[in-house]
Amino acid sequence: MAKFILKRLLMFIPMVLVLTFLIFGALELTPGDALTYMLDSEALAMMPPEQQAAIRESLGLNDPFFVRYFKWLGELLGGNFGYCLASGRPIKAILGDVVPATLELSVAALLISTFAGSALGLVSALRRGSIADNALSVAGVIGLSIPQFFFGMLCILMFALKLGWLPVGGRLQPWMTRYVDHLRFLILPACVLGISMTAGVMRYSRAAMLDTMNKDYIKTARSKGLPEWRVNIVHGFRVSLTPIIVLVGFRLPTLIGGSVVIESIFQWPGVGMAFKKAVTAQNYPLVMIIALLMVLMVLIASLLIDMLTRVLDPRVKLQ
Amino acid sequence: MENGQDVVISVKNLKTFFYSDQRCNRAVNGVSLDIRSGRTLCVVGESGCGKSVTAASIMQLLPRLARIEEGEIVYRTGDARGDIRIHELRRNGRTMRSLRAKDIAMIFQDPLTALNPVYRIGGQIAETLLAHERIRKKEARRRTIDLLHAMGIPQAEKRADQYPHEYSGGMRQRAMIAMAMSCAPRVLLADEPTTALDVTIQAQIFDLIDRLRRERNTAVMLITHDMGVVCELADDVAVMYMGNIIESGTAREVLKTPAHPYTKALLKSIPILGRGAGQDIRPIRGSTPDPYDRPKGCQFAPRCDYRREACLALDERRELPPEERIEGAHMARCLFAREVIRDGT
Amino acid sequence: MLFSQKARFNRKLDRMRDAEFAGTAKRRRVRNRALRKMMNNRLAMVGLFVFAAIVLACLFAPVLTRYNPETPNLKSTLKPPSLEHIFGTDKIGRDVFSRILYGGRISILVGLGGALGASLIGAAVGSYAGYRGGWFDRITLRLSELFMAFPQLVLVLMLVTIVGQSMRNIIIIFVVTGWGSVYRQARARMLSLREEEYVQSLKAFGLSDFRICYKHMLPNAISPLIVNTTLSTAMFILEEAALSYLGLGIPLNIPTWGNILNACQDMYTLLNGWWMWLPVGIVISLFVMSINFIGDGLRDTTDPSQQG
Repeated sequence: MAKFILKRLLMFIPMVLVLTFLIFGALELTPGDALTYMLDSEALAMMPPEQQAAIRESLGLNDPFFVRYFKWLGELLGGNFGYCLASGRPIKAILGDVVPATLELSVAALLISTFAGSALGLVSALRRGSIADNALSVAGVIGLSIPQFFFGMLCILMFALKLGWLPVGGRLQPWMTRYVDHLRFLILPACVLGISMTAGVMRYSRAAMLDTMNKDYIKTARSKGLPEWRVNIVHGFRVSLTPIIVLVGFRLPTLIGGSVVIESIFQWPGVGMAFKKAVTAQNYPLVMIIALLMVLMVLIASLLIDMLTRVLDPRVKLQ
Repeated sequence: MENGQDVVISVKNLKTFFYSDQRCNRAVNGVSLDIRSGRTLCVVGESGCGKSVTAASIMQLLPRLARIEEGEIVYRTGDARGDIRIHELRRNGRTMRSLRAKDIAMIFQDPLTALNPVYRIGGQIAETLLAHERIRKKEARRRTIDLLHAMGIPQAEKRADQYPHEYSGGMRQRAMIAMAMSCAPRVLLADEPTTALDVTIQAQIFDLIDRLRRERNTAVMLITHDMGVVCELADDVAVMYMGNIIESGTAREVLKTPAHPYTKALLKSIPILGRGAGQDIRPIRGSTPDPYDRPKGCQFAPRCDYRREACLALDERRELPPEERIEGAHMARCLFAREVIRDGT
Repeated sequence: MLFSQKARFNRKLDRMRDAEFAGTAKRRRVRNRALRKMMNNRLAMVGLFVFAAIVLACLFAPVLTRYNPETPNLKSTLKPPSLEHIFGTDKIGRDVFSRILYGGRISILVGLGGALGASLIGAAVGSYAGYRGGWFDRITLRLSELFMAFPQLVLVLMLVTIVGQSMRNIIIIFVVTGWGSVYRQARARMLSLREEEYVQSLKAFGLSDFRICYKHMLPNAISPLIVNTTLSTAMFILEEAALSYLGLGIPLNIPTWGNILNACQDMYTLLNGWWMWLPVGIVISLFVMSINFIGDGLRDTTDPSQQG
């Protein structure tokens, strides 16, 4: 297993390097440079052109592309992510605030959708052709088709405004003393973020179960006189788990991307909302850094899923 | 009859039908046989003749769209439970489950697909033990290792912790047999256990099954399409064609003096390993009928050399030839059985 | 309950058995297996119907509504549905129904355009890469992996930041971010088709690689691509809606389904102005659902592993 992780990490590095290169290139394509970031447009207009040129030179802004790229990369690796245009805060600090929030939301959504989706798919497969199965199938398509933000609006209307069971938005309030207090705030965003993932997992889990239950080892399990529940779950579901987890891995980027919209609706102070604000404000450095961060999150999560797959299915060979 | 020859499972006029897409397939269409302790009953026939379905019916392991229509399957427990009428039991109900592996066990054709790939072999064997006997995990583990060792798997301790894909084909089948025999069942149903294995390994597996039979007085029903195996191992033989047993009896009776044209033709059409070159091989003319479009009377009539007018009468009445009893347990479904015997091989 | 279900099942089998022996078992009526499956798939038919209905409604918008979707009318703002305005009016007096119809044109255009473009490029590149292999394959594979590591929304937003918001840009961005999955599929198909005999014989005849790949092999790989395109359309429509909802997609002066929802984010509208956002959301959901049903139906039809 350790070898596996090491190999994967080694494969990571070139990919991440290319990514940073692309991100830097994208940054280059946006209007403005360090000088426009430091000074507002008025001050810039008042500054004589020779002074601008001199400052640019001193900042190293006229150096060739690759020199600037490596300098930037060096800064990144050293932990300096630059500064936010609007607030002037170091981006690193901003990230430190928002990353845990998004991790919390994503993990919650992931867990809810994986468990709920696979359980519902399991039930669907075992009761194939029944009313429950058909109802769940239709519900699954609805779950895949409904826009996440629309579902969010519906949930807010229903659960927060009309019924008042759950809060409308936000994450932390000053009156909270224990961790569990703020879980109420997590429920709605996590469920909404996970809705399309749940629907997808449910359909796939049903298909995987149906496929597994046709296999010979299920017949063997029955021939051993095991009770039906054990045949279905210990032998059937356990084997289906591997393809389900692989599917979850494929849908991780969508989950993390969805956080951009969901966090905005629920005012959840995470990476997604920061990203949206940065894009709206045309805060280019922040946009690019956060984009890079999100890709890294996806890559790390994929690695974890791969490790899990390896544990689940002993037939998987290390590549 | 000696003690070791008691009938353990008695199947009478079993009919099992398969349903699909608006059609009904009479996979087993009136099968009667007896499985006796300490003896090997070989059920022979081509693919699709219904042999595996018969075994699956006895274990009630039929797919959802199949059911036992008529007939009886009686298991003589020989203890306080008396005779159990299997065909009346609920498919996965408590009684049936208690019979599986503990009284009647089954092994399947391809051990690679028949074993769960994500669990260790030791665990899968122990699972059977823990399901039927009140023992602890440690005890189950110890017995698992003993079983693997008894089945001829080297380094049983280490092997018990391996996965099916880490075993070779022959070892996998031994592991399956270990799993099946773990609770010392009185009956073993073996559905073509060596078809997926090399010829040399085949011999080893059959030796193992035979040894177990002798040591534990197990009743063995061996399904096969290989006449060579039948010649070697069978005590009793039942020949199946299109869902019926067309001839049955002791191995000597059926193989030396076949009473049904199909059996005769079958013996003539297959080279028997060990008999050397120069065997006169003749394929059976015609081909197996479509199960959905069967001959009206005797199922073998279109391909039979003995076909006569009397057979046409059967066609009109849509009846199978009745069971013709020749000596002892020897039976054949043919109007001209005695003539077939007289004509020799 | 269980008893009666079992009893019903057994009776159904009895009927089948008796029909078989009476010789009255049904034979297949419709010859063409694919057509039969499609007809059997009622959901796909319903999907097709709903899809056609919505597309036609949007196309014939001028016939169905006399209101201009963009002109504000400050004299009748925030009016609930009535005979005058089927879905009421929004915050600056625009008729919601006409905005949905006209907006649908843009949303559907963007979704379809993106999906078709992505499929064309993905299929073209993927087929050639799968067929030829070599450096072209390696480079494009790495490239697609790179693109697919990004959450699509993030990549789209990044590009929007660079090139700005406009309808043309959004479609181009969709194509650029979406070609990866079609590429993968086409390439996989090609890899398996490559070993077929007819390819070898075409090569022996001296036909150029381009011809073999595009003229002879690609038609065999078309079916899964069509299914993929259908499902991609659904995905892109949802994505455009999400982008416009955030205000970062199609510019706000052009109505699209997502844009309409952009103005409904506040609590007050949610509670009191349901007609401004509920109908649009339902229309989007129904449209995407119908596409999904059609896509599923197509997949069932073209999947060779399914038996008739």
